[in-house]
Formats: sequence, C-alpha cells, structure tokens
Amino acid sequence: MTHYYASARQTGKGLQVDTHSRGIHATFDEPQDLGGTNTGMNPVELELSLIGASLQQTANYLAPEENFTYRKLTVSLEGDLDLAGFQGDADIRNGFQEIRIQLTFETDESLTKCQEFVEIIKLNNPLVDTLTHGLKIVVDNVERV
Amino acid sequence: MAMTTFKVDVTSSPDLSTCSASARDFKLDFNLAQEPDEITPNPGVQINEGVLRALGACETIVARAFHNSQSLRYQDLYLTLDGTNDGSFTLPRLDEIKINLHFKTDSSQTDCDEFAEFMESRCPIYDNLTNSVPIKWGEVNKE
Repeated sequence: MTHYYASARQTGKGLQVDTHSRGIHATFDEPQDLGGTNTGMNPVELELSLIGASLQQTANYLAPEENFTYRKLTVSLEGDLDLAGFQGDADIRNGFQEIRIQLTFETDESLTKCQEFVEIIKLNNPLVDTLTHGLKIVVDNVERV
Repeated sequence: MAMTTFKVDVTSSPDLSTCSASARDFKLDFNLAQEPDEITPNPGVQINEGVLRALGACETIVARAFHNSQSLRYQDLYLTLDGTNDGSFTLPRLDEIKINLHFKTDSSQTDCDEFAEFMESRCPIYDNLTNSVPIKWGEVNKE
C-alpha cells in the first residue's frame, strides 16, 4: 500500500488556496469573473492538467514495451462545466459534464500505430479509470482548533 | 447559467520525463514519477499528489465561497488529504482518499460537521472523482 499526502489552506486573499506536498507548494485560485483574484489555475483546470499529465505518464511508461518511439506528445483537453450545479441547482451535476481529449504525437511511427498505442494508453491509464469508475472519498475527521 | 468550457494543453519535455500544463496565462510542471520517493531531481507536481491537491483546493474554495450563506464563521481552514493505492492497477491509481478538515472557529462541532457535508455536496472535483464522467476521445494526430 502506497500513501500520498497533500494539504490545502486558504491564504486569506480572496479564494486563493496554497497546496503543499513534500515541501513543494502550488497556488490555485479562480479567475476574476468567477470571484477570484486570478493568481493561478483553478481546480478544474488542474483536474484537466492531471488527466493530461497522467496520459503522458502512461505513454512514457508503456512506450518501450510497445516498441513505440516518439519525440513529443501534446494532450489537448477541454471540459464543460455548468456553474449552476456548483451554485446549487440540484438537477445539474457540480463537476464536468463532459471531457474531450485529443493526443498529437511528434513521431516517425505510422498513424495506425499511433492510434493502436493510444488504445493501449486508454486501457491502462489510472486517472481515466478513476473518472470512469469513481473512487471512495471519506471525511476522516472534522476538527475545531 | 451558460456552460463554461475550460481548456488545457499538456506538453511533454524533450526527454519525456516531465510535462508542462498550460491553461490561460498559467503553467504547471508535473513530475511523471509513479511514487513520491522517486521524485528526483525534477520537483514538479506528482500526479496522485496532484489529485489530492485538486480536491483540497476545490473544497477550500467551496468553503470560502459559501460559508457566509451557510452561516459558518471561521477564521482559518486547513485540509489534509491522504490517498492510498493498493497496487491493483497497471500504474499507481488512488483507491481511497481520506480528508481531515481543521476549522479555526467558534462555531459548534455540529455546525462544522454539517458544513463539511455541504462542501462535499458542492465540490466539482469531488463529483468528478466519485461519479463517472463522460470522456470523448478525438482523432489521434501525428506530426
């Protein structure tokens, strides 16, 4: 069993949040038109970034055993969010309603081999699997300090 | 309310060992290490730790945006998140996330517990991680 840890703390500057793991900090915020001060990506942009990074990780991991070589991979992602869900409309989900993903390889491999490799990536990608089947989230403790 | 579309591009580094995400004017570097203790020398955000960060940041923003309407007064909020991987998938996949919320507040424990439930009920990342999201794959391109 491997454990991963992170923390998140409001900074007091609007909606800005400082996140932290192993001494590495990253700041997230909302754009001004969503009530923030626009000092960083927002969490749903981070979610899309994580999906793209996870696909990069899977491609990098599986390429040698699939005899697939590439010089560069670009993952382009779009996600549709209806903010009415976040605002409390019970008929609309809070998260992305749909995510679209496109992969572009800089490679000497054939287009067919690229397509076959992407099918293998899709089957073996942990975050795509999580977003398809879900995971368990529990509130362990709510503490007053 | 109209649908908002968020866009991100994630590009590999020349040696394919890291990647960089760009959204609007912001960039974020990721480390492709599977385990936290493999992360040297490129710091970046490890992916499973990033999932925890996204959930923690999103819940914190929900709290900040709605605490007045929910009548919970707090001076500070700090979340710690612990994700576990049982090793059953090809690459490390989070199987469970435990969240601890720490409120600096004069409100009651009951009010804090109820507000924690409210945070989950409105958090977009919580929704996407616990419920299936339709993913559409575009054509694969080569350059």
